[in-house]
Amino acid sequence: MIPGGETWRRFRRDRAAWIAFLFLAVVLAGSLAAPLLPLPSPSAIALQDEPIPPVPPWKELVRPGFRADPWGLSALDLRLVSVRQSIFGELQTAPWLGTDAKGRDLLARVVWGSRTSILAALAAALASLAIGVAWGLGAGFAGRKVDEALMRTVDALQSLPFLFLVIFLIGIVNEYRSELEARGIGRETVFYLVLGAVAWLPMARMVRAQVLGLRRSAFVEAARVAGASTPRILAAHVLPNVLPVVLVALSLTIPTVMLYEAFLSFLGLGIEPPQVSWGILAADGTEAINPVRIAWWLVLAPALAMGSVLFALNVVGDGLRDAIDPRLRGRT
Amino acid sequence: MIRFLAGRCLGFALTLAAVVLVSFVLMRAVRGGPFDAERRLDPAIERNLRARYHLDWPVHLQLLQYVGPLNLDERGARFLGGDGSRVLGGVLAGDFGPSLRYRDQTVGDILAQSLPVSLALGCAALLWALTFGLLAGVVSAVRRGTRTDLALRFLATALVALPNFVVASALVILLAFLWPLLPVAGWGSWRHLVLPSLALGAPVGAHVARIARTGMLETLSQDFVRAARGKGMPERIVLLRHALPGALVPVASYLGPAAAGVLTGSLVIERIFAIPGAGSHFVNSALNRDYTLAMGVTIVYCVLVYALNTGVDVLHRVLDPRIARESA
Repeated sequence: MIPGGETWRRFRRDRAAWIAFLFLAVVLAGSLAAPLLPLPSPSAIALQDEPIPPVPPWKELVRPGFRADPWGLSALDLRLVSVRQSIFGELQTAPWLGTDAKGRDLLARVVWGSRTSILAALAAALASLAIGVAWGLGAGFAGRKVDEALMRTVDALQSLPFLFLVIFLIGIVNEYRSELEARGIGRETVFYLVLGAVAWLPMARMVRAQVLGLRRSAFVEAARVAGASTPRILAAHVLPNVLPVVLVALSLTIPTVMLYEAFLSFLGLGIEPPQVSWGILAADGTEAINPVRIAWWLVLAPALAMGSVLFALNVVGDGLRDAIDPRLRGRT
Repeated sequence: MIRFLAGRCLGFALTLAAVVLVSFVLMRAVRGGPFDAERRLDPAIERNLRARYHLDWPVHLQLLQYVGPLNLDERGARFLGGDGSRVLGGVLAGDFGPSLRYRDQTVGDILAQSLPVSLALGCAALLWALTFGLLAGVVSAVRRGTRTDLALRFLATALVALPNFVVASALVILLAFLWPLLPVAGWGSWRHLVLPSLALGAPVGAHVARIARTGMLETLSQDFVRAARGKGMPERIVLLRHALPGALVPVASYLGPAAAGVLTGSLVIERIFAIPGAGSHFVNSALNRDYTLAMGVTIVYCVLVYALNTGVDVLHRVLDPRIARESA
């Protein structure tokens, strides 16, 4: 059951899942390498009053004019930007996806915005792995009373409209932002923590279900008879067999949390300008809709970015589920 | 069944108490009061305002005053209980206190105006979602493996993946600007309801379609369906009378999460379409530090979702008695 060579082969044979996987890898690479790419600065404002429609790359590939304004970048990113300047100099891509009403390049904003989504996904994954797996292991293995208590908590939390509580929490945390920033905890850190705090519930549930089954299995009994301690049984026998379920749970959680991020940023409760996120881009696009002039690219670009990545994640998740347990093929 | 319901109610009471307690203590512990937002008030006025909203009381008395129908006015605040001559409201009595931002309205007033709007929107969205979702799910299960199935599944996955505000902007561009059929935003007639409820119902409908397809495929492979076909029943009756009820069970159990999703989604949709519902009030109150309003909406929505979830579980047990036996 450990996702080894056989699972990987099955996954690669699933054409759609494999293409989606490659697509996600390209997106990830592009977003990590964003400072190295010859993109315009995502926050460089050009004085004008109209958004510029897209200029396709075959009409105009690059144009000069790159200015390295440090738009709140980390030290590493700044160094990468200087590397980029030594490679490409002043050159930057023409507005292939157009610009927004302030003249900021949309392609650059979409690429930089992907970093926010990836961080949100990372926060969700870490929280699921740290809290969710431990919670599920505890509930599944520690006996009936602990199980009851832990799972009732999960039930209770899951039965609440959680996003309301999250928004409420974010509103309250905002009151303390200057204190938190003085201690080096940025608003974004808090935001990612809150996202992580929502993300671990499905993981706990799925891991627990798997552990309950494993606990009664013959090889765990055998290990116990042979005198293995509980931590050893958990680490050496249970955990490796939980791994497939963990992967499946992650494939369900990550898209959800990326949606939450976009949702909250859209409402102005998540990432704030000058940082970019796909939610903010979508909000800008929605605001720019008016009957006089439809700046369709402002709506389409973030929608396509978000839609394609989430779609690919769903496809990869389905493929992963099928590859890990072929009996489930076509069930979801 | 009674034991199940009692357990559910107890669990809910505990959860809600925890939610109220934590959020209450958090929001009162916050340093910045709701009155120091724009310009400094005269100290005397601010003192009066704080006294009016009992912000000058110790936190535990504020909590009691907020939760229960107890008399804790100025005289009573000194010792718990007061003289009992006047009973103040409280959440348990259905009174969520005054709004801290709209000073002449109580949270109850605001909810009474905005909740029906949100519920109308939510019901319309659920109706769309169930109609289209079930139809798409059944068609795609019956036509399994054909192009229709593929297209419907692609559409469902795309709608699950896209956030509802993207769907909303697409609908507005298509059906309000390019082909001006429906109003862009606002509230008032049924025509204002169409676009927002479609956008709100889209992801839910997509989920319903996927669940219905799976359930339908499962029941179609069962022996009793084969038996019905073997007896020579018309395919329409096999599908509608024999297979569909089985496929409805998983859809019914999804209704609880669906309702929660619709309520949550309405936060964004109400904002896009400028609908004066509880969701937009909630977002504004979170941004404006209108704590009592934010808490009121949170509590009401928690109760709504919990009641729906419990109702769905009861329905589920009625539809499929095996579940009750398994968990007993």
